[in-house]
Amino acid sequence: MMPVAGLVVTVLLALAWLAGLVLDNTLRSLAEGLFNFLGAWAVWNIATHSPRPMQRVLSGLALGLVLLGVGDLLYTWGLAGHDTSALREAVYIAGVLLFLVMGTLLPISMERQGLYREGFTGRVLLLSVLGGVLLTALSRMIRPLSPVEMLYAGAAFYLTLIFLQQSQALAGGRIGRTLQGVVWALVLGSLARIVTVLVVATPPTLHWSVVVYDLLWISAMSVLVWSAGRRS
Amino acid sequence: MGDTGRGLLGLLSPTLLGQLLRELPRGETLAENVQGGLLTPEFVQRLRGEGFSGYALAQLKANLAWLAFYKGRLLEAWRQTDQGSSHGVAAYQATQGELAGGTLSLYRLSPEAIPPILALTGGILRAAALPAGSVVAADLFASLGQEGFTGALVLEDGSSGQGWYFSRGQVLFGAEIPGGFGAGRLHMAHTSAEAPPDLFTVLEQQEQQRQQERLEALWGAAQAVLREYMGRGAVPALERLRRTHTAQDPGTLGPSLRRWLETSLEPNAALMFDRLVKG
Repeated sequence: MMPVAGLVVTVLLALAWLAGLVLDNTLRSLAEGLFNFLGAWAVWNIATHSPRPMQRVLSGLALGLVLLGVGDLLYTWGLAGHDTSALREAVYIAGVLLFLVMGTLLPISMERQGLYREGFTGRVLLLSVLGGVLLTALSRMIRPLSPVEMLYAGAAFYLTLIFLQQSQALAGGRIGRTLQGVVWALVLGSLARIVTVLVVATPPTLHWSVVVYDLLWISAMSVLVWSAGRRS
Repeated sequence: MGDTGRGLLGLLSPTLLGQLLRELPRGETLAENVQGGLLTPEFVQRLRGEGFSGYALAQLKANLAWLAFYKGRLLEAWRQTDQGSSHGVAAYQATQGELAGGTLSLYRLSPEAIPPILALTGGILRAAALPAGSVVAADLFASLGQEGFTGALVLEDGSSGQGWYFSRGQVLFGAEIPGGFGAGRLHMAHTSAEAPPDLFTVLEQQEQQRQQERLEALWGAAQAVLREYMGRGAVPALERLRRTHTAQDPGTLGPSLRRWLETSLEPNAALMFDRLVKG
């Protein structure tokens, strides 16, 4: 039931997005925003079927996605002429901070539970921080970034590295397979961040980078839906 | 049982052997026809501790069971069954299992008297089915005395029989040398030079081995569950698990591993563990 429902909603939203791309920018933005909620629902589903130490963390990530979705809906509302930028930014930041906290908690709680070798989490977090800082610095060399943009980009890189290392360490097992879906979603999400870094989108005019960002983000959410469907 | 033989087990019917054991001298009677439940593990430990030598006769419904103690060690157990008889650890375990419903008698003998009796079920066969009529009893006893024979001599005459026990050539229990044997067949077994193993020790070793096997089965199941969930990460997780779960008793380790899998992974992991442990 779940995989079919997820697939149907994904297809409907994708069609809405396509229609919006051709006909109405607000519809496109609305469809893209709703994809976040679909992703949140998928992550929530993954969480309920996951081992205990991952449940809280994945639920937190789902909540983070809800916040990003709210932010995107506020953006859409903004396209319709309302000033939502201040609130939107706050919601985005809250979502990203939640992502950071939950992503960091995952290896910590896994190690505390005795599932990882002692010291593994320390190494994972250190490498992820270093990698996140390095990649953000590289992005900054391409284009100057505001502190908030740096937070977004850094968080995307940091989280991708955290999940990537864990899914590698757990390759071949059920948890590893679950994490892999999240890793792919994060990789796509990070690529989406890179695209926004490379080009400054100038709304409300539709720029190609917005289309690429949307496509990557929609793919990321679809991967989560696919992951959730595979599990149930 | 090492180099020890099977004595006269293959020659005497369980009924006749039972009769011979019943007719063993009583020595000092410690208990007679008491409730079989008396032979609790604690009581057995006391017999071991005080270096008891003697034997126990247990009447289990229609069947007889016999336990031989030598200086606190349980060197033989023999038991009539509906199909025949059994001896050794299997006989002791079966007897223990049924004792509660039977009666028990316990007799103390001098330690020297035990090895010759043990020849009945664990000795080395010396002579089988000699026509008794052709043997001169006095000559046989004299020659056994001369060589310092230790073991058992049994005259089997149809369904009944008689036993003589020798220790270093001496006839034990004040038995008289018969004038002649008459009809029947004579069987002889001498006591093995190598003492049979203590059945208590054998049982303890078996129990230890069983525990070890159960522990290994538990860890094997835990490893399989971890591999299913953790893939490559199962090895370090198992290492930590082994460090935190050091119980050597399967009855404690099993539930605690199960609980860990349930809380650290998920209820399905515990179910998988159950399935694997059951095999």
